[in-house]
Amino acid sequence: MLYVFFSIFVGVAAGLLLQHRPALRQRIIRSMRPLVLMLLVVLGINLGANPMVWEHFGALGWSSAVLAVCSVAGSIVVGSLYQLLPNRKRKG
Amino acid sequence: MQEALCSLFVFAGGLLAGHFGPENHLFQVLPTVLLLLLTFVVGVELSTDRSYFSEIKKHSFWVFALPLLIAAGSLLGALLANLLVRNTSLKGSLLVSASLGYYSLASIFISTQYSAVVGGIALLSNIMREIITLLLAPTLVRYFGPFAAIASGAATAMDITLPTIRKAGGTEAVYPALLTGMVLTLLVPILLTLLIRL
Repeated sequence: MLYVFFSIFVGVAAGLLLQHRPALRQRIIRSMRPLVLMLLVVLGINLGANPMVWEHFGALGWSSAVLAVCSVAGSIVVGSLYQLLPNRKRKG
Repeated sequence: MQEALCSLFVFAGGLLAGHFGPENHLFQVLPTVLLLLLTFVVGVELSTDRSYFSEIKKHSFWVFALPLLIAAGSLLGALLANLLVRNTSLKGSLLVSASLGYYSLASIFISTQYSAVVGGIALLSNIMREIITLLLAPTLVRYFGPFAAIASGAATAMDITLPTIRKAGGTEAVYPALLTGMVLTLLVPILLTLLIRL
């Protein structure tokens, strides 16, 4: 799994090396959306080929919804503790 | 909103193609290749904006507490969800919540390294998280304070949900949102790696 971090690091290094070629850098960044869409199709194909997914389709949708609501609620409740922290902003 | 729905439709198209189409072994390898390409592009994007560093100096290092609290809260949410739904393992629930809205990277990461089914749940659940933020940001800020919309958007606070967060929380919400999004974007692969190894 380390290759994921390595890939991010290579991306940051490439981005810094390409700072004098902003057009090329922007073209690379714009490729993110098509890549994400390709990724979603491939993920869908792999899941769709799994008969278990179709057998438990409703249950998986329900799990996703409950996890989404609970994750958001947890983040909001614990995240609101941030307001209680002292000296969040430096003076001056 | 349009983007989230488009992602959902594309994913649904893939599901149907996988169900009715012929089997092809290329689709077993392709996710890893796409994951590498995507993480490379994420790295390039992270290198473009250095204004984060001056903001960290201005706001002190306390600003890092916000993304860490948001991530911790999301994981606590997974524990609660695990009590309500029994068809996902605790580890699976934690992985889904640790995705923090970053569905593109996290779903493929979980699918290739842990389980395709949990990866699918991560995708759906985190698209729902994005839609919740886009629809409810003003209400969340009104009832739960200025950082509630950032907490809801999590890793997406730096891009897709940023305009909604700015509208709901004002301009002072912009830099905490950008920093939170950046920190959580980097934190997601680390958290997922740690949780998978548990």
